[in-house]
Amino acid sequence: MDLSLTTRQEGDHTVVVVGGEIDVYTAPKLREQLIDLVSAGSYHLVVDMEGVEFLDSTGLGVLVGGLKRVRAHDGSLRLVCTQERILKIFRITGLTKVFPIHASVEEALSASD
Amino acid sequence: MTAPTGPTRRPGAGRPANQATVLVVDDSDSKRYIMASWLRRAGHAVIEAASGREALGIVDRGAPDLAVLDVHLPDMSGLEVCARIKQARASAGMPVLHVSAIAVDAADRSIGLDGGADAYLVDPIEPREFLSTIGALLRQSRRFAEEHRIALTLQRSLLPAEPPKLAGLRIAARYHASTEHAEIGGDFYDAFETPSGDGLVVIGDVQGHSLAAAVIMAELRYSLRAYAFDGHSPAAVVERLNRLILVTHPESTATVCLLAFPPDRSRVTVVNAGHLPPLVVGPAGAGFWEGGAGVLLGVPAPAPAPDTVDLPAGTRLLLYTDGLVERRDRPIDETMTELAEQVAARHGVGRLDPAHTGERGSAGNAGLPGNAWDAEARGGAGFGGSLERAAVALDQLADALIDSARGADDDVALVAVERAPEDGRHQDAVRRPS
Repeated sequence: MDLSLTTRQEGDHTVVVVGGEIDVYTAPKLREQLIDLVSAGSYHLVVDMEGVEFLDSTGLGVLVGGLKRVRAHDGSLRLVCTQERILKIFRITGLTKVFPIHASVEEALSASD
Repeated sequence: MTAPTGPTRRPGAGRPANQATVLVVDDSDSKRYIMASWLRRAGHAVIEAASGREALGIVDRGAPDLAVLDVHLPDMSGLEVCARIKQARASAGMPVLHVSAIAVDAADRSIGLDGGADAYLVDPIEPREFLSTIGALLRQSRRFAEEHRIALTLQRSLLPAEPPKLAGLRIAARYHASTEHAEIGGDFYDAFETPSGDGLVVIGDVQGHSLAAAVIMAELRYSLRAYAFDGHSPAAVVERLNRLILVTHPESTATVCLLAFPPDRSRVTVVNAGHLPPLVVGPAGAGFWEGGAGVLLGVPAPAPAPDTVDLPAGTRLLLYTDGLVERRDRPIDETMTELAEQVAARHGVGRLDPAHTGERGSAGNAGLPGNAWDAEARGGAGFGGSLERAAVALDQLADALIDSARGADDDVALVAVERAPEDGRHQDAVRRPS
């Protein structure tokens, strides 16, 4: 199972649509993508996780790393996720207190300042 | 300590460093013969297969050191054979060299390499380039296997060698290493007594699977001990650990769950930085204790607020890492529920409904499975027997749980703790819930 990544620009925000499995094998691809975006000056990211089927601790680490990078530029990283199996992982790790989590990309974009 | 076994042990392991067992898959007898002779002359052992199915059968019985795979096989495409080899965890680390007799363009070679092949050669193949390519692939995979072996040895040496012993507590700890090629976990556990007599039982998991993760795990484990020995409270220990990891390993995250027992063991405090909640077993059932929970380590966030509850003798707490409940094809709440059911059944009690587990992070006893200690709920019967029987049962429980995790992708650490039955000395100190 692989990881799919597509990005698109929505005003000041870059939406990263992630699909498949984010694990120890595929997480480096997502890490590179987030690093590339921040290097290119995209500091407001919305990561759409609706197509994610599996997320492990390495994947969480990559998202946390992305958050630290955008914050260093006063940016933001918002997540879109309604899947209970993924939300449960964010709750256990306490990351629901760290990442703003939205029910849709539209909601994430309008919540941004 | 037992020597690590697993993916580093291969059929070719006993051969000289630059020689290996190579599987050659080609439907053309003459081509197979030529490649096999080159390899044999260079000192390698060769296994031959004329079809994809035959090749997969050989790999299934034990992966050779390397496979040379014709892209065009009669029964299935070489790309498909390669994909299956790389998907199977036991053979995922075996290098695959694609060879093609038909002239192919750069795009075809890219498809092969993107599909998981490690190198691609096209006819006419020069024997020297063929053998050099194989040598390079073997060097690469041996370096990888060596790192795996070192990390596994290091990780095991960093875990307590003896079952931890703490007065007033029974402890059974287990660690199961994933035997997969790429998987070294940062799982750890520890149990020790501070100079003031507090008992600490800890479990944690550093993100990632590498030598680096094992090293960070060691740093956390020993730093945690040092902070606790200095007299810091569990929450202060976790706060300091977070500061440490933020500065020393800014790219890493880790989860850690700490249980602290006062000298008389009459209570237990949990501080949980993003780790899976402890499973508590009392006379009335088994349920997850979601109190004392906060954000994982590696994120600038306040330390979790501790949660403290009374601990009647015989109560058990289970700490575990995600390998025990994380399955690719199943939601984690399902597997966690199953874990609670399995543990409850082994104690002859029921699983406590999540509704009883209260709100996360709330004060007092609200985060505790509310009726776990209510012996009357099941007619006053506890699960404890004599001291001796309880001890065996705790070990059996740990064995059964670690057995259920064999075959999982990940490594698993678990610690089962029981407050030892009363010796009379501390009996009065125990405050039963009303």
